[in-house]
Amino acid sequence: MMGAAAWLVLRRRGGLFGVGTEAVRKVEVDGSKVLIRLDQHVLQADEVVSLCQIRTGRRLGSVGRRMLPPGSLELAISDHGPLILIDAGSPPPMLTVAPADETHEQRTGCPERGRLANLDGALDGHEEHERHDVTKHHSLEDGSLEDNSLEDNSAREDSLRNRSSLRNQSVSLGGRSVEVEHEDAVHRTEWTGGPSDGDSAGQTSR
Amino acid sequence: MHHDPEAARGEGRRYLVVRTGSSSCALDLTMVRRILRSVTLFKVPGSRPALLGLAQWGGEPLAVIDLQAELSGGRPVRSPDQVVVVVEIPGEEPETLGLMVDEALDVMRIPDTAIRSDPQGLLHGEVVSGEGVIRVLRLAALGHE
Repeated sequence: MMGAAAWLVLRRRGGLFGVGTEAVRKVEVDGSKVLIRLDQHVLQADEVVSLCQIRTGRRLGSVGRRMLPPGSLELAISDHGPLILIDAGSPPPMLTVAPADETHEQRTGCPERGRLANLDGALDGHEEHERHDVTKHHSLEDGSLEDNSLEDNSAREDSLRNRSSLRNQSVSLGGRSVEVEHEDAVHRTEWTGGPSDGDSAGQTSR
Repeated sequence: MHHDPEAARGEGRRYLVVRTGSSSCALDLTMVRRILRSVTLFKVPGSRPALLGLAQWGGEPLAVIDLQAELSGGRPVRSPDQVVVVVEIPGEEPETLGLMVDEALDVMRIPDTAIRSDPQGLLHGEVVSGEGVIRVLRLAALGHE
């Protein structure tokens, strides 16, 4: 069994998949799809079904590894039916979003440069403040503080603390940059996706 | 194959004979755990075509494979009276699987000497019985390409 105690259960093309919540950095609702941002990958789901704790999983043997999508680690049972627990470091390709499919805003959390320029007239007196925040946010997402516009070391230290906080405790939802505590985010995710009837994905063999 | 004392005494190993498509196949009975008439399958996108889906059995997840599709390399063909044979494949990583077949026919004892051995993938060999040719399978090969 893998280390994560809690799993985010996703539905994608009728299948159920679980990803360890410790690997989840951000959950966004984008129209009819849900994007789950991990450290190195972005997963795409049709819905987030639930958050659950799974104590026992069944490790895949050679047949399971051959038959199931690559990136599958274990099989387990959830309230919604059997599911595949995936490797967050190497998820199944059918769950991942190709980088080219993401918009600049999805990749960086910032509007594109042209879009910023269009906002110039509307920002008025808030322009400097907004630009500063955007730059700061951008640098946090990139993990790089080399080219940002922070002015002094204390601000830089604050930024580093903020980054640590983002990494470890907070998740934003809905593409609206709603920063919330991790547990709250998970509950919101459950509410947003809405639990669904697991049997709807199943079919009886006779 | 699994250790079978009766087979070791030369009396022949016992097999569950199933029908899948137009052929009969013999499964080592020591690996068979249960025959299920009905299971609810949850599909797994991105998997091999022969994997019909995941089911629950005894509170555990169970991968269910279409035996005919696995043998032929074709796509699964479903019919309403199919059954799932639950098998446990021994080895370093014991694995419990469901095999969807059209019908469970009989249990019969087949001496090793009666099997025309010609191992090819999942197929161990063939034996001729009064009802035709029975393909003897080696389930341990399910995990191999």
